[in-house]
This record gives sequence, structure tokens and C-alpha cells, in this order.
Amino acid sequence: MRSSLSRRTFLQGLGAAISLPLLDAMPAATAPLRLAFIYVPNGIFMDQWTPVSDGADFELPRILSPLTPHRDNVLVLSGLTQNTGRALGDAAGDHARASATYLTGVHPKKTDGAGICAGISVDQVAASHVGASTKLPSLELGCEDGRLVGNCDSGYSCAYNNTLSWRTPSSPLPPDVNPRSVFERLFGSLDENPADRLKRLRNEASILDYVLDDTRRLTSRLGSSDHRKLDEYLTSVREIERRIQFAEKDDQQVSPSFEKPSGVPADFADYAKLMFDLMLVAFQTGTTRVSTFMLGREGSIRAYREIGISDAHHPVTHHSGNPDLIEKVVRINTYHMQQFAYFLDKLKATPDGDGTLLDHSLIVYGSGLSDGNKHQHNNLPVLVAGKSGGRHITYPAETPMNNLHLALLDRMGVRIESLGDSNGELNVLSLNA
Amino acid sequence: MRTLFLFALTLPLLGQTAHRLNRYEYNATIRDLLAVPFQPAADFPIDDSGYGFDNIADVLSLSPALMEKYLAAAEKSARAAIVAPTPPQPSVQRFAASDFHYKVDFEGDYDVLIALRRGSTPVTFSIDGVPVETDANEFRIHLGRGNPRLVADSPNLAYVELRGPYNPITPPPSESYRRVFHCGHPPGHHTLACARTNLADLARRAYRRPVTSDEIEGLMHFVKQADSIEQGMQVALEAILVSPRFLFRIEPDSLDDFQFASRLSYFLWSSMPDDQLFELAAQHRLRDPEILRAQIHRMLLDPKSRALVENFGGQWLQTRNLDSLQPDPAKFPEFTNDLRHDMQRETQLFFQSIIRDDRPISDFLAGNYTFLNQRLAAFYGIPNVEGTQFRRVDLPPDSHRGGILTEASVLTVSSYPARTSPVIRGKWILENLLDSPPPPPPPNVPKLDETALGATATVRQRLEQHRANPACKGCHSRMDPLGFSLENYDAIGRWRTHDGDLPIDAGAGPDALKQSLLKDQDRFARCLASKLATYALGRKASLPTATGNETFSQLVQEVITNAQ
Repeated sequence: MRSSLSRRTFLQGLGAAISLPLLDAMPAATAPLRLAFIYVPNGIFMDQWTPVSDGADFELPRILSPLTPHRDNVLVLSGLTQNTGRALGDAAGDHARASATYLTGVHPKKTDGAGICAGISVDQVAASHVGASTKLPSLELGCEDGRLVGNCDSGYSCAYNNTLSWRTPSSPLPPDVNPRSVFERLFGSLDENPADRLKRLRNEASILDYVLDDTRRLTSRLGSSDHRKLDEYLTSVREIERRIQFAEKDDQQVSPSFEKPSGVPADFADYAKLMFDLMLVAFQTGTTRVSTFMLGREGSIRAYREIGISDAHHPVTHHSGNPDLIEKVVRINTYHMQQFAYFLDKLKATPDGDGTLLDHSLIVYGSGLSDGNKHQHNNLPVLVAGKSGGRHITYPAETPMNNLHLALLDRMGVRIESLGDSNGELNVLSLNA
Repeated sequence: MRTLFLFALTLPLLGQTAHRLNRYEYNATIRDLLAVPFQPAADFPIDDSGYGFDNIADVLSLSPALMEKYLAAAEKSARAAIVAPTPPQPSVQRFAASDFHYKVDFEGDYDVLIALRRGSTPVTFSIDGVPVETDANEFRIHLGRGNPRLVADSPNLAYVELRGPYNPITPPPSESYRRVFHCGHPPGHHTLACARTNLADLARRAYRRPVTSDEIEGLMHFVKQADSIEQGMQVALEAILVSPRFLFRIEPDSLDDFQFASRLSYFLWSSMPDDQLFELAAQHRLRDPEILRAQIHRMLLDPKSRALVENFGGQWLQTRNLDSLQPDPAKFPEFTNDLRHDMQRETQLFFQSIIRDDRPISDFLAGNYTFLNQRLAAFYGIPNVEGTQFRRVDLPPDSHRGGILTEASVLTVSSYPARTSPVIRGKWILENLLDSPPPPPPPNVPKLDETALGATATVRQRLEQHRANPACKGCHSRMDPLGFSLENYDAIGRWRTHDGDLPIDAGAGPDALKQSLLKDQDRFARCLASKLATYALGRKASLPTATGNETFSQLVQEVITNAQ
């Protein structure tokens, strides 16, 4: 991979707008590539995020400073926009739109319930292509139980704030926020003996056969809106059938390297690290190759007492320039980044194929808003961690974020013409090269 | 004729709604179906909400992850209901103490061996204080289920060994087991004919409607294939519990009697209809207004109506958020978890009393009673309430309390962690009591930061800014004065006359606010009715005919009969 170094050095002075092939010499892969999106809510204080200079010689600003040990594994991408997150005639609701568009690039339907609709998200496109060879096509994680009631955001259903992942435009996949439950999805119940397990799998298979059949009879009598819900049901049943077939073949259960979590840690950092550990072990064991993780639901009002901030996150981000409030925002942003740095530490320390797990990963970190104070959807905070990095690239204003998604899909071996509002594939020099 | 014909053709394609059971409904339905002693939905993924409620059909999606949970929950529930506990092989346990408790899961005989360090002096041995008459160091005792205290009294004791059970007695089948196998045969002695009857009954109750013989034969297939009837019933029950007929309530525009019974019971109980509702539905009598009235009364008095208090009340008033709110501990050290629960409890008991006593709905606004224990009464400054038990308290005129608007739960959930917000409280009133939510702020106008204006200004002075900006004025001139009326209550709902050193200016004050809401009580009634209707139908709905003179049960009956 050092062969790309000279070329990179050579191109260093050129603007990123110049078209470059995504990458050239890729080694024969010894391990498959993993793709993850790590999301933080309520935007970022961009003055302390965006490096001053482009190219390889950039300083990490305060919010990015926890990434110092990983500087060479991180690409900071500036200038990307999720235009579909803007009001576009739908007035308020920027938080709901921020999360709903982040991975879809599709302007969501403004509704509090009837006919929710966004777009299929990039992780689910990846999962539908590469997920067939893994036990779970994708893994959706979260760190905040979205049980708060009331209006989530100005006439938008909470479904838009609670997840990034949309299997279809009308089927959001809610994140699992319970570490123990995630563990059981990954590894099943480890205390089951093989004979019981096989018997259970056989029973499950015959039960699912039966309900598939029964559902077909039911749907033949029903109207259209029912069909949507029952299609969701059928898709889910088929997905579980696939997992059962997978499990039947796989008689040697993977033993994870840590114990089954007992509950939800009270301390935020412990909680986030545990979820990162679960994502890591899911990647490491080949249980899935695609994951999303929301450190908080969009519009989160969590109070980060752990770092001495008792104000709720969302109102603080509406700082109106007040330096005390800005300081709190920056500290929350940096605190999140510290948890992410822990994840990169672990990925780098985990051997995988001919290198480390980080070498075989594309991990996107960011938020669906840049300035939370003004609800900006342009110049989003985006960084990609992986095998190589050490650059800050600024794209022309209003470059669709979805162009990055296309580039990521391309690297995952998924070639599609367009996704959401993409208008081309982002030229990302050395993305996982 | 032609138009009518076309209309009839398209009709089946319109207006069908499939309601997936949400987490609470799933737990409650399994409880009423099988009486298993756990909550199988505890670790299901979060249910998304819409229109302020988490039972809105369109947003209740079903992901593969949830399907996996359904399968696991079905297995766990079916196993717990059907698998009779089998006695273990006798085993040995050694105790190095002279005085210990021994957990007995199976009644039966147990051999006791008392080992001494030296000598062979007889020991006194007792079970729950009753001595066993024996001179030997090895003897047999009979133990019933429980956790008896065993004492072996000797200065030379080395250890005590217990070996058993011998001749174990299988405990009687559990309530769950009896609900599945109600033919009355003991475990292991069921017949195929009996399995068919039991399965038909289970499926009928789980699907909340009569089942066809085809459906029963489909399920019987599992029983015929299995090694034993019990095992087969277990798999068949699992199939029932993951069937869409169980997981969804499918409602066409025009409900049949069984669908109506389900709508009613999920509305008031968040659970399946009971036998009485089912029978009335089968006789097509449930929708008779007199019978319906009696049933609504019965259902509201049933303990299961607690679901309506928790799920409807907790989401309408947003007091469910109290579980996760964290008022600033530096400013509000009094806000302990105990106080949090007391606030929650007050509102639940108040709501429950309106339901049980079938009070006029105007009590929500101005009831002059509430429910307190000593801690919450002290917090409110109301004397003569002692002890931890909640009880009904008639409120003294100078108590500054009465009605939901003055309950600490509501005042806390409509505040920021460190301070009050007249804007949030005003919006809360418009949305939840007047059904007149303010339109969202215009795009790209950042929220006014109320703290940015300096600590010396009163909140009122700070919010004058809202009315200075023409883009904000229209709505804030409606919201802010409502919220200001409650400024005498701090961010955790305590009465105050000053905010720091500054006197509170609460405008007309809470009593005038209540009076003006009561004057327009038809607006409040339509608001409550539309919230109830949305919750009952699982989609945006309303009842424009509400007047404000209804009792709670009358409004419920209006909603279930006429809401659109």
C-alpha cells in the first residue's frame, strides 16, 4: 500500500475537485471490508472541528484531538451537504430530517404517523448486497432509549429521529439499545446444548414455514395498507428463515471474547464503549459486515452529567453565540469523539487477515447537522476512518453527501448508478487504499 | 349504479389497518392468554411513536430483529406454560454449617447424613424448630416445598449431607398449564381429541376471533408430528404466537363484532378481550348502547384499566418522561428518585380516581382533591398528611394545587433541567389541553436562547424578545402568556414567589388560567376526545361533538362509538 504514497504526495497540492480514480492497486483482500456509520446528534460546533488547512499537513482541532493517535487513519471530509434535509417547503423539523436523510439522501414525508416514508439507506443497500454471506445482514445499535413521549420534532414521527437505517422507504430499522439483547442476537444463547439447539432450529423452521403459508392466505383477502405491514412481516420471517439455515450449517458456535453483558451501564462512556465492543466483535467474528450506531437519537436531550454538564444536549446547541454554551457543546462533541477514539484503538489492536480490523473497515463518523444552532444541513462534519487517511479534503460547496455513500458502496463492491440525490461518485483519494 | 359498482370494487383496497401489538400490549396479551410470570417483551426494540402515542399502526414497523425477538418470546412463553417441571435425579448437597436453610423445589424424602469430627455422640436435628426423633447419624426425613431451616446441634459437627429427593411429588400444574390444557388430564395423559379442543381454544383467544377447522387442522399438524402431545402443543402454541393473526389486529373500515371487542379492550386494557367481551361479541350484543355502557363501566373498574392510566395518561400528559428526566441536581437537590416516583404516582392516582369514580372530565382541570403521601405533601407545603401511603386529600383553598396543571409531574416535564420555560409550558397547554398546537417556528430562525440574555433579567423580560420579532410574535403571543401564568411553580413544580432575588410576575396566575380553561371547557373536551380517539383507533382521529359536560366513561363511549 505504500506504493500509493508517492502518488498521494504528488497530488497533494491539487484541489479535490479534480477527478481521480478512486484507487488503483488494491491488494488481494485477505479479509472482507466492513462498513459502519457512527452518528452523533444535534450537530457539531464546526469551528472546533474543521481543520484550517487542506491536504496532509493539517492540525487536528480540539474536537478531533482525541484522534491524534489515529491521524493517519482518518480522512476529514469538508463541504458535503444533505440538501434533502432542508425544509424544502416543509418548515420546521430539521432534527427529524437530519437523521432521516443522513444515509438516505431522500427528503422524508412530513407526517406524525400516517404513511411514514424516507428512502432506503446506504447501509441497507450494502447489507442487501454483502449481507447474504453473513449471519446478520446488518446490525443497528443505539445508546439512547427513545421512549420520550410527545412530539419528536415539529410534526414528524419519532421513527425519523430514532434511526438512520431504512430497509425500504417505509420500513425503518430501530436500533437495539440493550447490550445483552445485542449479544444474544450475535451469539445466541451459549448455554444451550447442541442437540437442543438443533431441535429448536428445526422447530423454528417448521413454524416459520407454517406462518408463511398462513400469511399468504391472509393477505389474499386484505387491502393495500395491510399488505405493507404484512410484507414487512413476510420479509422479516424470510430473513429469520435464512438465519436459521445459516445456524444449522454452522454447528461450531463462535465464542465471543467477552462475557454476556448484564444490563445497560449507567455511565455514558461505559455504555458507548460496550456498544462499540459489540460492533467490534460482530465484525471480528464475521457475524455481520454492516452496522450503524447512534450515540444519541437526533434531537437528544441527554444531560452529560459524566462531564459535569447538567443542561440537556439539544437546548445547549441553540447557543446563539453564547461562549459558555458553546463551550458545553464543544465538550460534548469532544466527549463523543473520545469514545470513537476508543473504538479505533480497539479496531487497530484486533488482528484481521493480513492486517488489523481497522485496515479492513470503513468507519464513517458524523452528524446530520453541522451547526446545530442554526440547523445547517451543508458543510456537514464527516470523517472516514480506515486503512489510510491523514488528509483533510474540502469539496466544492453543496457536494451531495450521497456521493460519498456511492464511493463507500463502490469500495464494498456494490456498484449502483445513484442513491437518493447523488449526482456522481465522490472522488475520495485513498479511501481504504 | 355503475359508480356504486366501482366503489364496491375498490372498497376492499381502502382503509384497512394492521396494528402490530406494541411492547406493552404484547406483554399484557401474553399475560392474559397464558399467565406466565414474566414480561416477554422487556427487551424488544423500542416502538416508534406518532401523534404522541406509541400505538399508532402506521409507525409500528416490524424489523427482522423484532421477528427474532417474537420467535424467542414465543418459545419462552410456550415452554413456561406447557413444560411441567420434572423432578431431578437425587443429588447430594453438603453443608459445613450446623444451622442452614435448604431450598426444596420438590416435595419428597431426603436422606440426612451427619458427619462428626470425632466420636459418635447423638446429635439433635430439627426442621424449622421441630426436632427429629432419632439416635442415628443417618436417617430419612420428608420435606415439603419451601426453604426450611435445618439445625444439627453438636460441638463435633463436621458437615451435614442431604441426598434427595426420593419418591418426589410433582407439584400441581401451574395456572399457565391449566389454561392450555383445560381438559383436566394430568401431565403426560392428554389425548389427541383433547389437544384439538385445547388448541382451538388457544387459537381463538390468541387470534381474538372464532377459528376455522382448517386453521385448527393446520396447527394439529404440529401435535401429530411431535414425540409427545405436550411437545407438539408447545410448538403449535409457538406458531400461534408468531402468526400475524396474533401479532396484528387487522381492522377494516367497518368492524365486525369481534374486531370491535378487540378495539375496545386494547383501548381500555391494552390487552385482549376477556371471555365476557368475547361472548357478547359472539351474540352480536356488545354494541348495544346499554350493554356497551355497562361493559365500559366494568372495564374501567377492572385493575387492567391501569393500562389506560399508564399508556394513555402517561403519554397524553407526557408524565412518562418523568422516568428519564434529570433536573439539575445542583439547583434541585430535593429531586430524589423517591420524589420522582411520588410525582408520577400522584398523577396516576388522580387519573385513576377520575376513571374509577367516573368523574366529570372537567376534574382534570380543576379537581379540588389529589393524592399525596407525607413526602409529596411536605414538598407542596400541605400539612397533616403523614406516612408513606398515598391517600386522597381534599385540597385547602390556599394550597395552590388542584387539577393536572398544578401537579409537580406535569410542571417538571414541561421545564428545562435547570429552569422553567413559559414557552414549553404554554406549548404544552396548547397541545395537550386545547388541541391547538402552535405551528412550528419558521425555517432557519434559530430558537431564542432564553439564558443568553443575562441572568439579571426576569424570564418575562427575556421573552419580550419573542414579541419584538414579527416572525415570532404571532405564536408566542399565544404561548407565552399561558406559560407565564404558571411561573409561580419552579422547574420541579414547587411553589415560589421569587426567582432568585427577582419577584415572580405570573400575570393572571394559575387560578385565572384554570378559570379561563373551564370557561371554554368544550375546547378542552374536544382536545381530550381527540387524544383518546387517536389512542383508541391507533391513527389520527377526533370526536368533534364533545361538549365538556361528559363524565369520563361517557366520553369513552362516545369515542369508541363515533370517533372518526
